[in-house]
Amino acid sequence: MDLQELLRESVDGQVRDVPAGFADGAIRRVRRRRTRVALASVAGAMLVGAAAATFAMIGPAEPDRNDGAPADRSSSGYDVDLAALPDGPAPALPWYADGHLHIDNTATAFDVEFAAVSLYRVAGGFVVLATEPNGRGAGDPRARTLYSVREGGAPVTLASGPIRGVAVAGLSGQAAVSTADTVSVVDVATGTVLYALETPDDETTPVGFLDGERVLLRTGTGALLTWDVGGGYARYLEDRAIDRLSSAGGPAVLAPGGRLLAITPSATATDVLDTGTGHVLWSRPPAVLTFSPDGRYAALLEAPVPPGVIPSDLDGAEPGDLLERNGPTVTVTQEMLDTVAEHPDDWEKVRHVVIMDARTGAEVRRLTAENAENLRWETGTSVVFGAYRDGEEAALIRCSVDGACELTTQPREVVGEPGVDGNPYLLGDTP
Amino acid sequence: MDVEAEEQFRRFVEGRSLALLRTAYALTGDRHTAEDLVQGALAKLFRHWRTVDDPEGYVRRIIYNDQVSSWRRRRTVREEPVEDVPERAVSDGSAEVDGRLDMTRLLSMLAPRQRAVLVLRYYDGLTEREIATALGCSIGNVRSQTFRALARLRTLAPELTTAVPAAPTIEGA
Repeated sequence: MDLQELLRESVDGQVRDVPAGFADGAIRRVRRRRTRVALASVAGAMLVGAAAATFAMIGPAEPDRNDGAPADRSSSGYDVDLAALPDGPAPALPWYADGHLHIDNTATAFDVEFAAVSLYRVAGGFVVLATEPNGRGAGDPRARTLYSVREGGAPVTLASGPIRGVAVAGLSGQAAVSTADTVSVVDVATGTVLYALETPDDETTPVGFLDGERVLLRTGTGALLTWDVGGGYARYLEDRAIDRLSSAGGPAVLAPGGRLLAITPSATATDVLDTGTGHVLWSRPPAVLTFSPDGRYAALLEAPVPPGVIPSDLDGAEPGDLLERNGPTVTVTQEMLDTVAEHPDDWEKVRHVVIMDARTGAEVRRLTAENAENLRWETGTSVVFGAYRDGEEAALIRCSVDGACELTTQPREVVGEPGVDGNPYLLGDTP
Repeated sequence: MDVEAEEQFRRFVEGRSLALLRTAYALTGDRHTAEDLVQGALAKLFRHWRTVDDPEGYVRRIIYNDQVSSWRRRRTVREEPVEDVPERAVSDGSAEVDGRLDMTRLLSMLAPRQRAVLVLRYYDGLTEREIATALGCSIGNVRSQTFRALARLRTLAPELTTAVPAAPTIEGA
């Protein structure tokens, strides 16, 4: 018997089975079910104290918004270090914590269990798309409910069941909602269905409101359609040959006002288009962009070390080298090398918050943060996102375009897997 | 993650966990540490399930990398291999079951990197280049570690001499 056989016999003899629930254990590390019941069951007195501390913080917040200290890389190795940031006001956009929907200093009870949630602001309240905790995955589109919640009021169901997607026009108080067979425009305040039409296919989702009368849709095959809410569908920008999304491409993102559109027609690039001319203004590697309210800036979260690459892949590598692996070929960048050099044990936690000029793609600001997540524009010059410290605490952070950052909520103990489901403050998913 | 993707992940875990756990056990020498190592790697895979083209390759590389990281973290509490093997650990060559038990124990008496190069080479069947990549070291270092590991095995258990190569197999030879 040679060494290989001896090793196999020895090791295989010692490990004959896998513990029951091994997959569940791995998934539990990533996901926690965020429910009111679960919150109430965990050390109630301690939680009350934590909640009180949070509300005390968001009440008398003194510093002016966006008046935080310029981000300076601290001993943590991140520009955004929760332990070093000054306190700032609560976010002026919706977030969820402790069974309540928050905005600025107001809190509205949201007594609903959910596994995932998307939050929208409308005049006088919120629209909430909640995925039920049905045990079949947080993203299960078959078990969603769309709620309208007035500030201080109770949730009112607007739609439930297999909701494929939602787009909300905050100013008009309307929501476009698609199911497998119907796309509707709903008045959020009354719940009245204003318009409805059969969908082109069962995976059609609303991208956004182009104006008060047209909704941009993306079909399951990747086609972009406009829906004149009083009539039918038309191919979007057909005369300008923009209809080149594929079903394999990424999401389409419409800038507020509809002047810019980000599409990911393939696995290799995201294009930003001027919807007035149909011209591609700039392109970059695939990313989910978010546009500032005035359409001046675009922002994204970026992992400098792509999924599938680990530090040992980069030993001896130089910028421009190609990593030949079983997956797609990866081009080594200086950012990758810098990241693994500075974060040899937590490279996968590093995220860059990147702010760009929306019309040129020129980079305006780049900040590093631990497991930054759910990037949202709060004003024309500030973003809010979740971030972590040592995987143990999390908070919501505000950073301005000029690079000043501050805490908008006090850091609290994480409740799940950092970067996935660990932040006790939820800005919500992109639907 | 949608339902279909989660089910794919579960099928992968169901099908490959035993093999992954065995590799992790061979690397760590401890069942609980191995389970933690694999489950941590699977959690990372779950987070990137949609973007990883080679799930098993990715998980294995995470296991190797995390194990190397744990060695680095432990450097401040230096881990030394046991110099002398207790007599009862050495096989009397009377039965294969003794050989099996001795291999598990013998592995635990090697330095972590020596154990790793043997496991990756002779259990996982990786090439020297693949081992160097997995452990973040040079091919020369892999060869020297392998040489020392095999030499130590022969010292620890002379009766295994016939099973242990006299020198590391040269790639391509």
